[in-house]
Amino acid sequence: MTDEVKRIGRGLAHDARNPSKNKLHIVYSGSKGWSVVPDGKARAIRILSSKKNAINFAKKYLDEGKISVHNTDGTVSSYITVVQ
Amino acid sequence: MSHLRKKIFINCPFDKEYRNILNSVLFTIIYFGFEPAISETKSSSDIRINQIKKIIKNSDYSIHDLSRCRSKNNSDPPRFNMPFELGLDMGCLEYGNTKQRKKKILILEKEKYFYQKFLSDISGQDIENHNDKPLEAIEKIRDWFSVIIKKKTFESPGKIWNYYNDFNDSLIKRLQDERYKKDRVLKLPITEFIGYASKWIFEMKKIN
Repeated sequence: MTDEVKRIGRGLAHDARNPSKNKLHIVYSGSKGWSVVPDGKARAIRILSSKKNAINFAKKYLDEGKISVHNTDGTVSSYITVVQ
Repeated sequence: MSHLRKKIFINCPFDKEYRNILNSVLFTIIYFGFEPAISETKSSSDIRINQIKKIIKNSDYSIHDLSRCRSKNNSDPPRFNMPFELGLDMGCLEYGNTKQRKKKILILEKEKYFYQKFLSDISGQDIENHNDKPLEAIEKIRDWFSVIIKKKTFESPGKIWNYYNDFNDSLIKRLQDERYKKDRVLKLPITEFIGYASKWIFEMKKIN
């Protein structure tokens, strides 16, 4: 195992143990629309009909933090930083 | 639980267009405590079919994805590796030892009933379609597990999908820290992806 693989593995373990309280994910939810999901959680706080509406909701919900916007395949398309 | 660490043979394509489906399939398998078994060429001297036969013999379950059997355009021949390996596995199920005869097999397709145009002999098997969407692949595999695993409660597909998105976010961030581009997540060696997903799921389950 290379040092790089070890570093990535350690980083992932850290991220899984320490989800961010100031981070939301915009996740595709099939025919339901787009979900707003807190980091480290499986349950959405809101499901909206469009990606745009989900992003707008997340921006208002977070006083400060980061939004990770996902593609329909689960990968990440962009990040949005929310500042007060 | 009796299914933990049991091997699931994954017979699927390795092309980049399919990789987002494969990643979601691997994540779901690991999430439910199974061990994915996949044939990756470790050395050019390896005879691939021998590797595949060994994996088939030693696996308790199999998932065969036939969604890429068709040719990409009219001038290309169709791809037969996946149906061939499915045939080997069904032979193992039919003629194998007592354990092998208890194998459970899930066949995935892109569109419903398309397989009937090129492989009608498999009618009557568990065949599900994912429409080339990772979310639907997760749903189909989760639903198959809910039949084959004896477990009182079962996580919803949406829950697994949300965790999968979270994991992808974390993996992309960690890969970018190592100066890779975002699409590296769809190019990682499969054994590396399995290792990362296993680690993340293990730690995530400790706090949830």
